Amino acid sequence: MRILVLVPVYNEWPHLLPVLKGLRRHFSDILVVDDGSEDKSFLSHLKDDGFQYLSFPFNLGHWNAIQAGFRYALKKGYDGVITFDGDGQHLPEGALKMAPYLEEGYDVVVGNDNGRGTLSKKLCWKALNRLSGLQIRDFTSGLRGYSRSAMNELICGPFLSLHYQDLGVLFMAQKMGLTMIEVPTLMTERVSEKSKVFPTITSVISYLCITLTFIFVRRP
Amino acid sequence: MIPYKVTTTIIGVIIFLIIFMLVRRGKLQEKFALAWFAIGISVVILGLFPVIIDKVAWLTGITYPPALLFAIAVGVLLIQNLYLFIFASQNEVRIKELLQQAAVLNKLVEELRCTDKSRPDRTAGTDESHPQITPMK
Repeated sequence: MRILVLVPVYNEWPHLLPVLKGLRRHFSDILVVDDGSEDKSFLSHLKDDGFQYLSFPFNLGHWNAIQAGFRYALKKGYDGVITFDGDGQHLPEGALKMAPYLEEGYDVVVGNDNGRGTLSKKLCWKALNRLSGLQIRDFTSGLRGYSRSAMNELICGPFLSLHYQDLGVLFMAQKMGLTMIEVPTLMTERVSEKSKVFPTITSVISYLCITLTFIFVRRP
Repeated sequence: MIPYKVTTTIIGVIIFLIIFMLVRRGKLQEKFALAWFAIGISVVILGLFPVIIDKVAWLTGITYPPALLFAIAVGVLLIQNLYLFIFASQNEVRIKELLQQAAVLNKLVEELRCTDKSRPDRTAGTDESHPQITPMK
């Protein structure tokens, strides 16, 4: 089974190279997706070290960067994709855990870490989970595996308007009948202190509002 | 003092002319121009015969005719605004898909160029006397 590891990157390249080098020890095929980072100079570093990459001229969003990776993987005939955050939060061992489940035939594999996050965050996530009726508990996790058939579905119409690789994606995937499984993994604290999706409190609020609207509109 | 009909007619004609000029200069696409022309023409007609509003208001049981005018105006603007939002969402999705495909195609072209460079007979010139088969991935 040929698996491609996707690493979406947006302005976090100082931490990127060690992460990639750690990954390379376990995976031969790695694709970095530059989601329109302002400083493009790191791409040449990637090239020097022999890493493959896609690059956007402007920022599209985390999920859309992953979709571009899907398109590439589909074109090149990979059987599955594992998404891996470039900020040092995920461990290559976690990514290794995803692969057997993809081989088993699951469409979407989510690596979760229950120890993550503060209490208020956990309560919030739990509430969203209840509202959406999602089977997966850790829906913000960026460590995921997708099968080829899942990728074919996930690059189509409705999935293009999503911004984050989170609840929305899983919610719609569940509705489409893709098989999903949650796998416990260990994650470390991210090296960069700021979260990519939630840099400020306003972004958290806007995320909550968007997600709530999403749930109420699309609920079965 | 000029009669109020003259004022409303002048305002209507000016609005119509603005729309007309915008379409002529290509600032407004024809498919959007149609809706705007309809609005422009109705503004002129209402300017020429403001009585229409009073009549329709009386027929529909609205005691204060200008309220009807405002209601219609708000309705029309709301629909147009909604249409613009739909248009913007649609465009965003299209842009995303195009950009993703462009990024992937760029990468594939780059890969092709790399495999091309590794073939010595290609970089040397157009001489194909020593055809060399390189395995494609």
